[in-house]
Amino acid sequence: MRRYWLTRGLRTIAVLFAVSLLAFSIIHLVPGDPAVTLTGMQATQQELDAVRRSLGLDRPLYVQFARWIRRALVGDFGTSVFSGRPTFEEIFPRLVASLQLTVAGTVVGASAGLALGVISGARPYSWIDKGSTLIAVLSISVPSFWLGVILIYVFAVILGWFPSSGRGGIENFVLPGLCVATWSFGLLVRLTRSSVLEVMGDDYIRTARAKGNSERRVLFSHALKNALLPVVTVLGVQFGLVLTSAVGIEVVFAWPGLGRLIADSILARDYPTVQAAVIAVAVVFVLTNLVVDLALGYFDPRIRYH
Amino acid sequence: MGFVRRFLRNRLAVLGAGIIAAFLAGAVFAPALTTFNPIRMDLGAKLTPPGSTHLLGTDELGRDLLARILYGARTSLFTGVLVVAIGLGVGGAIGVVGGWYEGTLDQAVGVVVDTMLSIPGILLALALVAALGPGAEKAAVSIGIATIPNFARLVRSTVLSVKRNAYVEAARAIGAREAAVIFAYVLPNGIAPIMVLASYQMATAMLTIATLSFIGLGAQPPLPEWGSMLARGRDFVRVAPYYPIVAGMPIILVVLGFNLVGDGFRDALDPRLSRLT
Repeated sequence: MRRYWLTRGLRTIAVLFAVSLLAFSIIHLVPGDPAVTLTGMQATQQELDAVRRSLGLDRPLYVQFARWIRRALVGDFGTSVFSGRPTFEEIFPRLVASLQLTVAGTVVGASAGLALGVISGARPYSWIDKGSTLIAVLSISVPSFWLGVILIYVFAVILGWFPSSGRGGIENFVLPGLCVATWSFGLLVRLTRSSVLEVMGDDYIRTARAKGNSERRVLFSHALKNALLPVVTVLGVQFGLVLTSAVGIEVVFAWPGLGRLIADSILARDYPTVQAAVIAVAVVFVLTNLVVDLALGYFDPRIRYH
Repeated sequence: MGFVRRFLRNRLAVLGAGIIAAFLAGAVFAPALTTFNPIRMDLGAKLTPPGSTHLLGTDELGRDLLARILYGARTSLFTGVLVVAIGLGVGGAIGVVGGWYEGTLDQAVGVVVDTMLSIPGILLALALVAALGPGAEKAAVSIGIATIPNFARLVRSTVLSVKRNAYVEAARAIGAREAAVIFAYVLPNGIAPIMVLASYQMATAMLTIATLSFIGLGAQPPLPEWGSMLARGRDFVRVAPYYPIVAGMPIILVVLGFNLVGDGFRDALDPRLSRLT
């Protein structure tokens, strides 16, 4: 058990290191002088010199990287070119807004998807299975930002039930939350269905049936325990994915989230903010997966000894 | 029953293939299918709802939406294919080498692939777009690079399992060259799961490209492209609701098409699941 936790922890550190390398490389991959890239086009010669000195841009790349990491570890990702404030202050409220939307949408979408997926998988090729399979493939094929535009038209413009943009009260969550939920819903239906379907063909399920258990008991006490393991793993991955994939939704609903901050910062060539935001998303993603993996390892001995 | 016949028996999968074929034909024969120029503005006809002249209406600059969808299919389908070509080409090569030779090189590459898989693909793509700058091809290259690890891992495990077969050993025993064994025996027998992943990745790629164009990081105006059409259409949802609705349809249909084809491949590949009927 301890070995599993240790290797898993080391992997997390390796991934975070790789992400830092990626974020660090961004400014060096941009054609042109990194000092100009970092300070913006209107910078004076003094500002440029100050940046070159403080980042050691004349030093070898690995020295620059080490210095960058050292600052990143204490939360110093530089100053936003756009607002002049430390990027960390820019990022944090955005991260909170993104997390709220992601959690709300994923909880609703995933629970509905899970329920329908179990029903579908337990009764394959019934009308309810065919219907939910079709709805599921549709909901992962519709771009969430398109759905957002349509929802705004119907519920904000025509009916006037919900606000079309901004982040204030609970009513602001409904439409963008629905967009996030639709996507996780479709994914969870498909995944749960195939997982349940596969497990239901296993020998131990036949044994459970042969022992005279009711079909309900076979499904809930025997099948689901195994069928839901891969579902939980994917749910963890999805959660982190939505954080960035929701960028289209954030743009449509003027939601002040992290995805939109990344997009805006790329367009404004505000590279310190892009770097910090990339790291922030990666940290949340990696930590979510770590928690999921450790939890699964705790509940399923086969995983920790693998 | 063979893979192809099982696929063709799946009505939804055939429908998906038909949708893709229709859009491919639309992209290729766009000049024959519409007389409108997708880029030339006609301000007198701006925001005309669907009718007899403009079958799907016009945009805010009077450009025919059907023409923009047909010509836009060239950009959108091409960038989608580019993504999968990069992912499958590079990832496939890495996977074949790793799976066939195994050893230290394979393990080293495996660490890189696993690390890349631990970062959300869209985040990787966004970071690359940040460095490369906005543009349809640049966005496609960025997403393509982000898909490399997915293909590398699948191709590697496929090669690993196929090469244990007796016919591979037989081919090597009669002295066939290594490249010949890989291309004539290993890859054809492992192609099915790769086709499943390629279809799903194509669907995801089309969605991601549309998202990047939608937020202004993909195709730049006046190039007709589905995601950026939708981005423009969004601003006119109040005065011309048909515009964003029409502009979203091609993305939905093509992504649905690739997902259905992927499902069809998957079910045809695993007869165990379809036998349960």
